[in-house]
Amino acid sequence: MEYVIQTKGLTKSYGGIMAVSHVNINVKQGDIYGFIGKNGAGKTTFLRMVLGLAAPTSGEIALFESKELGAQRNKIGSIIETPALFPFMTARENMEAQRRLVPGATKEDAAELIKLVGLDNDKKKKVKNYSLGMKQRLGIAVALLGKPEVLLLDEPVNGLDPMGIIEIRELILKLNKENGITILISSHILGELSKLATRYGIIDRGVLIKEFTNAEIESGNNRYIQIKSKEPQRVQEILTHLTTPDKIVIRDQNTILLYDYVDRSAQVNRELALQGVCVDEISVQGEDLESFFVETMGGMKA
Amino acid sequence: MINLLSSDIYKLYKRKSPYVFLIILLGLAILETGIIYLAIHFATETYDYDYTVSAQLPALVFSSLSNLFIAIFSALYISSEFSYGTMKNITSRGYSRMAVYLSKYICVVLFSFVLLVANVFFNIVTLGIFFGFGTFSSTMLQDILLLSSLSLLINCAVCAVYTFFSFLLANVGSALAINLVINTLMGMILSLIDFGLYIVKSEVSVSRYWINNLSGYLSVYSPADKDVRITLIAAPIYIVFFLFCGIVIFGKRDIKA
Repeated sequence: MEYVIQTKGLTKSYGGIMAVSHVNINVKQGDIYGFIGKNGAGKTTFLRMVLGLAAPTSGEIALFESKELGAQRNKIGSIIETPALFPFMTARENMEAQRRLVPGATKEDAAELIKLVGLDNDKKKKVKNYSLGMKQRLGIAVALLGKPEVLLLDEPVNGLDPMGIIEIRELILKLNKENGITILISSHILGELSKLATRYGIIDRGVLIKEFTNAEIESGNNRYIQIKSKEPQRVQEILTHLTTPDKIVIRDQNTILLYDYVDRSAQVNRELALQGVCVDEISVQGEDLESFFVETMGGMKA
Repeated sequence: MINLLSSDIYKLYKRKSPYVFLIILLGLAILETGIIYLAIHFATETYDYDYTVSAQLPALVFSSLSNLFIAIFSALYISSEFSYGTMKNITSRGYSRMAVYLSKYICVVLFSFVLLVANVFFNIVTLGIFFGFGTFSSTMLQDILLLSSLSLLINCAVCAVYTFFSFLLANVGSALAINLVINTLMGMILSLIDFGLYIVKSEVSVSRYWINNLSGYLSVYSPADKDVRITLIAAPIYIVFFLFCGIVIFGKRDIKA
């Protein structure tokens, strides 16, 4: 078995508005698949359909290369949006309520998972008194009951503090590497996703725009010159005399990326200086996920 | 299904509300019996009314208070699964929507039986202490057995109605409000319809068939055959109709929270 999740033309519309439109996705066994998209792009709706929480308007889903979804969903653990927990119960009690749902999961498994996510010291604390990070970790422990082969995590680091983000990241990597669990993470926090994922899919307004691997980002001819200046408009104006507009990407207020003159950055710097533009920083960089995403979306191109 | 039931019963056991309802039932049993006892004790006139357990048992078997508690409990127990988002955990594990619905319904029914038994037990004890147990004949015991069976059947119907609205609204506040309105106002609304029918010279009484009113005709020894028959027909209709509608609607809806 090569693929754990495959969809073909998966579509969901609400009153004529397409939330997910004809998505064909392929998640391979062992992947950490980063599902990228802006807020409202359709990531959560897609995951809901995979999990059977929402019925597709049209299209097909195959789990573990099978169309018998009810039985296959037993092999998937998930956290959708926020960890779903009973606030009036402790971590152990929440695990027990969920454990009884999962055939074959033992009390020892539940105890081990609580230990794995580092919540074994808070035995008497009710979940309502947990921090968001603790809830997120408990949510992952609940999702891991029954030794799932796939974990679907929807925005797992949203709202976490830096320490919480690191903890969740390390946990996800450990689960993938040591336990061989395939993980699909949806997120719009690209910096974080790039530290985890091996493959990616970009979704925009319900449409899957592109699927690619980390290797494709790194090996592609995607090096660029990053220019930081307080006069981005002037920089852009000068650069348009040197190259074509499609080679210039404005990343943010002060940063411009130039996909040309990569081996002649000194010439670019000299040109800007001659035109009286003050450059704060100029450097040659390999393309990262963020710039790849911006370029793919095409939303901020010059 | 066994796994679902096991998990649902565990959640029931871990909640505070069932215990609170039982404590309230006990408190009310003591209070009610105590007040009646004091009223009789200090009354200047002689009351010719039998408050022994044997005389009161048919009324105790049917409890309108437990209907109210089921209305509140089902809203808290079922709708909160949507509010907490835990319904996602259940449905995403591959269980059929029908199994999820039936498991919750069975749990509400089980709790309603506990309420009923507890109510009868608390009242038997308090009435027994204050007024004595009275005497029981074999016919009376047979009647009690029949009434208890009818009470359990009515309870299943009551649970089907409140389970339906708790699933339908999927929100604790809304489900609580609607269940309470149904419990307290539906009888009154149906009585108004009866009044309208009476004005147009119709002898039909729709309120007669309302679940909360079925028990009113049965809480006596040797209930009329007609009343037993109406209950035996009406209660299963409620159960089948609301379970069917509930399963169909829940089966087709997206789980959002």
